[in-house]
Amino acid sequence: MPSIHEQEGGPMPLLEVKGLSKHYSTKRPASFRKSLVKAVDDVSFHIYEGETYGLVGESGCGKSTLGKTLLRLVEPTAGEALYQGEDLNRMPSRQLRASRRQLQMVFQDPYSSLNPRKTIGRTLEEPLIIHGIGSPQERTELAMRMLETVGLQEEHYDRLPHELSGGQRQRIGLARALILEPRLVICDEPVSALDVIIQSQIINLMRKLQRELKLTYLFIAHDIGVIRHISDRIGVMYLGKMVEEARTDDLFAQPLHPYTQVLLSAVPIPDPRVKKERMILQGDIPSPLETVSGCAFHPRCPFAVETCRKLAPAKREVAPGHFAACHLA
Amino acid sequence: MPEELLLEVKALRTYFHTARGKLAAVDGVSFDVKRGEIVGVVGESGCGKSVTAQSVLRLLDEKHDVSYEGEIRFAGSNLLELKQRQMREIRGNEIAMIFQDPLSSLNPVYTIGEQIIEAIMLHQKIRRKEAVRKAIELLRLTGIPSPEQRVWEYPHQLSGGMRQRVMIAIALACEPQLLIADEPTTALDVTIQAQMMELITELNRKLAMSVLLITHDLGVVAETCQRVVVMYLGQVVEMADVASLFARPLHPYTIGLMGAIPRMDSDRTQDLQAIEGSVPSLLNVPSGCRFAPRCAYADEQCRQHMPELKRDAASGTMVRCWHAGTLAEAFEATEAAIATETSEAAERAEEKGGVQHAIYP
Repeated sequence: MPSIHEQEGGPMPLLEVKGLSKHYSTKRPASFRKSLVKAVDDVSFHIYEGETYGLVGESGCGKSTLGKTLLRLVEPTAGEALYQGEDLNRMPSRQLRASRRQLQMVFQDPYSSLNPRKTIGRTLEEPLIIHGIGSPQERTELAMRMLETVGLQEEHYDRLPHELSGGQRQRIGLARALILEPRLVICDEPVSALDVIIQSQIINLMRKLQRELKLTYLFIAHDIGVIRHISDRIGVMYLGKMVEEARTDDLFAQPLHPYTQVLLSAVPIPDPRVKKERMILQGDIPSPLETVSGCAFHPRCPFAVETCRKLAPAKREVAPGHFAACHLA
Repeated sequence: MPEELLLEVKALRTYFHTARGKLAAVDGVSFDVKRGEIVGVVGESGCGKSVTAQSVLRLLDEKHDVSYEGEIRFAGSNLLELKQRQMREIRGNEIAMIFQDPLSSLNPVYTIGEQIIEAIMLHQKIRRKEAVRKAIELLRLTGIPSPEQRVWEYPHQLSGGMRQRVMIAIALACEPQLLIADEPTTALDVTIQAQMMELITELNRKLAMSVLLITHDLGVVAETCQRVVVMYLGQVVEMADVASLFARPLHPYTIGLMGAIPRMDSDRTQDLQAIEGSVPSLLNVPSGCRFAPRCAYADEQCRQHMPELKRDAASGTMVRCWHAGTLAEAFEATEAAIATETSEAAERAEEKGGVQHAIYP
């Protein structure tokens, strides 16, 4: 079914992902049989210029692998990722490098993602050197200006990462991604290692930068409050699959997939007056080594019926712009 | 005896002896836990909440690194005066603790059964057979499926949520009167966190076990605790029952913590209220009120003089702030304004026929 945007002849998405998969083949523990881990399994979605697309799910659902696959930091097994109509997965490396200037990434851990032996200035100038931008003097100027953009001072230029706090380091992570003036920034859990107050500072900064620099974000996170706050549209992942996708307000007003319903109801509300009915899931996320027939969620789903055990549901448009992969939605 | 005090911490100071001098990671902290009560301790990293918890059990290295001042009264005796041998009888037996990371707290070369049995037989004079039966019973109590098989499995064979259940089973082995839970759900996914908090509150009700819950998550506090202690840079800045704390937070730091969380019902078009700066190091503790350099309301008095922890007449909340009363009124006013604004915005949106998204055609 064509999506709402295509029906209306809307703009071309900045990034269009079609049937993207990343499978790993591993040996089962204590056995000779090979088995296939479907870390990302046939995921399709698109991102429009200027929006923030939130990708949410629990650990092991494949959201981080998906983010890395888009930049080919991890080579995908199948599928397409069309950036402005061109498939990143089939691009020769020279062309891919040029495209990567417009596609940058911010990582989760501000401690391990910065080189401890490089000064902040060097770290910020490195992408400029790689892409052959400016003279050494111009690069230093750009780095200085970038420090100011992310709320740091020029004095930080000569510092080493260990001299900075977690929040300051994540500002450097942002500055390093933004110095090439990218259009799409993939943010992989950018605030989950930070304390709540520092987290709120970084979220506010990211929104400000998005407005000023006209950025598009793919924001990957497990924190539902954070995802709701920052995203225009949200995709929910479970065991490598996209189970639901909708505009933020629609998703929270009416979650269609039982997993989304459970996920939203599990979030503790910081208000003791609210006593809500909580859906508590039985059991843990199954190991991705075990293949489940039918819908991947059916063993834990409180509403599962016979069809769910046999047939894997396809993603379909249940309401305008609201997709779910569930037989019962 | 609902009001009976189980744990009473009085003017606790925990000093770390470092190359750069003696630093008070916990600086004059007083609070108590009643029988059957769940008390939360919240604050950012470095506020001293975990050190407070570890001080109660005296887990820190007293030979070299740490010295204590003050009193920790538990069931009549001052824990800080006990000998190590007496302390060992209390640890695990009367006060048990669970930690943030269940994988590194469990021994990887012993089965989980062995580890629970060890805890039981250390404190109780029972036969091994009896202890095995009890271990299985504990695993069942904490909600582990088919405990008869699981009891002989190793930690690596279990998922994160299961391991935390095992930790709780070990903690419960001797039916402690107080459970100290130090960030028990921080390493877990949100659906597993919900299971864990459900389990801890259920055990609290069933076994009348008091819980001291150390966490940074105000959502978890609101749903499980009866009373809350808010800490900043080694001191208690606010202490109240849960209902008053969330209805009428008095300290600007508490107000800031609440504003920093993206709530499920917040207005997404607005920025989060972020406190400026970060927690200063213990090496340069600010003079006067410790929060003053980051506080939007600080004046000369705040920068010069440290406020005492005082009782607010209206709510009974204990708060360490010179301007507590006036700030609370301002907070209530903005909350009310936001509430009316949101409902008005919703009405407007309905009139227009749904929320309009600027970026969509």
